[in-house]
Amino acid sequence: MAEENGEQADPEQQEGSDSDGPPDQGDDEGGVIFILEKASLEAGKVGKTYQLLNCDDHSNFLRKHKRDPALYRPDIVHQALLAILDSPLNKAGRLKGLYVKTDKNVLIQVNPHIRIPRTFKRFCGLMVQLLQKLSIRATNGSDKLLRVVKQPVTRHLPVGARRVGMSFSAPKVVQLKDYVAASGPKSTTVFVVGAMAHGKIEADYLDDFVAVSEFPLSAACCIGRICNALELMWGIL
Amino acid sequence: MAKKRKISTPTAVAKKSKKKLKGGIEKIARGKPQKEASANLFETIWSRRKFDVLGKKQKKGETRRVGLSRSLAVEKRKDTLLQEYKERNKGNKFVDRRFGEKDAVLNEEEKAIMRFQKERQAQISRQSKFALRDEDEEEEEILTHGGKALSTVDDYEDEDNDSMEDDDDFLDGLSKEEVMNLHFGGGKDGGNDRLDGQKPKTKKEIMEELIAKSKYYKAQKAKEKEEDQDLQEKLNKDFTELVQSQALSSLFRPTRKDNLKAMLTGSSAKDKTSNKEKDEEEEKPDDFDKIMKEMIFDRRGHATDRLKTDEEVLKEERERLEELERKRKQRMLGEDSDEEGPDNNGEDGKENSREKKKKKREISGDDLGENFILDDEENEGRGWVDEVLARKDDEEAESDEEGGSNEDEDEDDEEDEDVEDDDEDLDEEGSEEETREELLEKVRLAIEKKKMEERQEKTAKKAPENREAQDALPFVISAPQTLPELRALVDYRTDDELVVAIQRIRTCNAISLAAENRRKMQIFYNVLLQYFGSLASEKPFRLSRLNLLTKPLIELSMETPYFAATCARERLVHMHTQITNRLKTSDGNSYWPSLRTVLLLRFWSMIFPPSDLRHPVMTPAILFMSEVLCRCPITSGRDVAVGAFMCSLLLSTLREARRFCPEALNFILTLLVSSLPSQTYGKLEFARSICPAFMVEICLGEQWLVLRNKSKKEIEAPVLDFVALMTSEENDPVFATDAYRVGILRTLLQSLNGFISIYEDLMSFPEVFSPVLRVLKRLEEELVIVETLRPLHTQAVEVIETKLAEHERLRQPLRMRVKKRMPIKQFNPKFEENFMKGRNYDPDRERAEKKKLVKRIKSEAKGAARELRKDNFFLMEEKARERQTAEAERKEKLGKAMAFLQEQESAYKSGQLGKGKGRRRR
Repeated sequence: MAEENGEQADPEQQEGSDSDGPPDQGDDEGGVIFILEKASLEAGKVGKTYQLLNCDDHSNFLRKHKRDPALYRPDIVHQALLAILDSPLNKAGRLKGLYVKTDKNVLIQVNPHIRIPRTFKRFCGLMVQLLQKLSIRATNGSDKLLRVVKQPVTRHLPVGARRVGMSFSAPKVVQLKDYVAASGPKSTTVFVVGAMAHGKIEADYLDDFVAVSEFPLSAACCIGRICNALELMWGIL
Repeated sequence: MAKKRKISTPTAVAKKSKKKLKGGIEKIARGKPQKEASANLFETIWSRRKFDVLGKKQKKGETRRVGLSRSLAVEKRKDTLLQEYKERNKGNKFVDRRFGEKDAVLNEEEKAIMRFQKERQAQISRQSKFALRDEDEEEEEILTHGGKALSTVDDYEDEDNDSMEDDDDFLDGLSKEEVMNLHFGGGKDGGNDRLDGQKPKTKKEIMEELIAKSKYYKAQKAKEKEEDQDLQEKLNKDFTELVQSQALSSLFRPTRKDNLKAMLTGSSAKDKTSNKEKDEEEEKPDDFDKIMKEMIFDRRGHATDRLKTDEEVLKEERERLEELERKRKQRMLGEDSDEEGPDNNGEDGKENSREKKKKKREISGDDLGENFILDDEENEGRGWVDEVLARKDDEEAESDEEGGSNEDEDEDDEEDEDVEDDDEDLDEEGSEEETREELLEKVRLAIEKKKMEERQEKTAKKAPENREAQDALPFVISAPQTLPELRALVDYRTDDELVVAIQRIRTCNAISLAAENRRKMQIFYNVLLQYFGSLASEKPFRLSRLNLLTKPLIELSMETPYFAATCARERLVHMHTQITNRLKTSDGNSYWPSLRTVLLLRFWSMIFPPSDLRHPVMTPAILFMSEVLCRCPITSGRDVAVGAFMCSLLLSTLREARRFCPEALNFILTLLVSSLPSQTYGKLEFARSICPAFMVEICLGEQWLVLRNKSKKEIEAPVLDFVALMTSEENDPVFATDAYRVGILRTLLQSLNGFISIYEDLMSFPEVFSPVLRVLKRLEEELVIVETLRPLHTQAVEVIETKLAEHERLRQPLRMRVKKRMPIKQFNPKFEENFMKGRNYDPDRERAEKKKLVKRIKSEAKGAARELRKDNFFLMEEKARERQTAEAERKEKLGKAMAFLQEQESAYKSGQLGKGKGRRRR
């Protein structure tokens, strides 16, 4: 799927490349970019329809195809996306970019203006359509809210942005508030969070690798912490 | 491609090419892949599925061999396009259709054999099979038997002749029929059947058989029927036995049993013993019958008369009155005899009792909403404003009712029920307000009436009917259409008679009785209103009479609300112009409205709902009152009283809707300020800081309210007689008394309290009432507040202070306006449930269809262009090859020529060229 997507995303990549960077790069206020790594978004043909595979509904189906159902957790992505997009941080326009990289090596660019479906079922529908059509438009506008873009993700990140990976297994546990403040309010930071059930993120473009808690956190919770820290720093209420 | 080209070429050629093409394809499809699989490795490569979707099954044509298909395409072109290209300049062509000519594998001999085979095959094909043989055909068909030709076998040379004879013997032993069966019978079964029947039946036999059968069935049926009957009889018999044995009787109700018995006895007269029992049974009283009989005597619901409608009631009333009138006239004309005396008396008595009843009712309840009641020593504690205030609550309820009914009547004027409801309400309400004074008056009136009647009786003895005819109130009274008419009718009558007269007029001319009555009653209403006004302006003021008028007036207003409103508006306009004129031409008279105007205003505030946001009467009325309070200068003590009353009137009208009326508040404040002693230090400044500029002079003018008495403690605060004050002269000594001043102050304070309670929820309460508080405090400082006023004063001060504190506590400080942060705009993604790639989700079907077609056209065009491109490429290659071969050929030719020339030349040069040589060559 990744290969094909890569091929098909190519023409879009052309038009996308000019507007790819964070939208408000010009002004001096800082921003944040999130990357959700290892998201398990995979469409399968169950019966006659394409469905987003998840461990609850398709466990038998997955077993039949010799897959581990425990790895199919699109709900994590859903929660993480909701946590990011519903945060005051995003409402204040500080979210400069949001990317989701799936297990199957598909890179999805998410527009911060999207309103993700609240229910998981609808989210699944959206993702299935995205994986087939490779882009999703807004109901009332012509801009693309979701689209599959060309790899690697680094080509979409602003130059000089600090790339921080989040992992429980990281050697240093930091107080996120101080950590964020250290880089200064004007800088743009990239946070890479894993949206998978098990394991750790494997990204070779990271500058730093930190843990934000002494406990393993869910993706949504981790994102919530990051958002809170940034909101505190920028005074977003 | 091929098809296209086929169309373009002549048909003859097309056919050939088609055939050729088909052959080519077959050949390719058959032989080549296997053969060339090893030759072209590219053809062995299968296209691969690019990505794997879990659960997606592989379709049939999904993967293919690209290399193979390419080479196939090339072959196809060779067979079609190339052929055409080669024949492009030719008009026709030779086609060798001999069998096996194209097959390169065969040699000549094999080809010949094949051709022969084909010929033979054609000969034994279907057509030739049935063709007649030519006579000169050498071959003869030979019939054979057992592999030998028949001609060789002799028919009569059989060795089995003996056995044949045996057979004949055997045949002799059988009957003819058996032989027939054995030889010519069909199947075995058929033969057997025949054997059973011995011989085929004749028609007659069949018919006989049939008849016999039907007879048999009939007999069978009859037999069955007989058996059934027997069974039934037996059952009946058993049953009767059972009944007689009383085993069954316990299971049935007696009556049923009787019926059963009767039935049984009817059917079988033999049972005589049962009859005996039956008689016994009959003698016993049956429970069921008993109940039946009891029910016959039960009381049943009887139909009642229907409820009379209002119109019918009114009609009956009218008829009754007419009857009475007729009798009265009879009496008047002296037609009555002595016999009628007692009758008359009785009638009188009846009438009296009716009157009394009415009076009684009136005493108990018709006394609605009188605010004109004179207070006396009985009612010391409460002033007339008190009265007004106390009555507010009741009136609010009432006005609610009125409002509701008014709206109802807007929709349906003749909805009498509503009116009556209202009347009842009013009655009930009135009863609460009954004052003793009025009771006394009623009693007095009753006594007077009695006396009058006695007098009448006395005079009646002397000059019997004439006097009575004039004095007694007629029963049927047409509605008076002018004020003089009405006055002529009622002026000299007592108050009771007035009420009765109006009642009778209303009954006789009820709107529901006749259409024209509406107009009549409207005029009558106007006249009554005029009468009300004239009574109010009469010099010996008769409040009781006015009070009596209010009830019918209110009821009439309910009946004709539009007309009542019109009348009120007319009068309001008139009042306003009057006041304006008076203000323009100051002729020394009082500027303030007369008692009549004030009473009318009060009257309207009772009729119309004062709480409506916009009411055709009440809105202008309130405006009018406010204007009066604002604009009219105070020139006398009477004006002060009128102003104070207007304030309380405004309060009562505004109370329900809680409208803000600054005029009344200002007026009250101004009067309170003016009550400060004139020698107070800084009264002018104080007044200026409190009152509006145009009212300051009131405070400083003549001191109407400054208490003269120094020992203020003793002054009583009497309840003021408003009407008396209104009617008294401007320079009446009453206005110079301290009692009057304290009374006014008291009413002012009461009104003020009322306003405070109304406005306590206003946002601007502190701003509106802080000056009031200042005034009140100042009044206390200056010892204006006497003991009798203190409770009112302290109440007002306390309420204002608590409310001020509350408002101050609740008020938010002003803040700079902060720009609200706007969240970024969010968009909903557009997606479908159960999306499938390639399916069209356009709701507009036509558009979707069109899109699909356009897409197809595009792809077709692309495919065609691609094919053409490939064709061109192929042709180009072919041309290049041709050119190459031509070049090579030319080169070879040239080389040959050159070689010859070179040889010649070398020969010439070497001298070999000569005659001999030349000859030898030839």
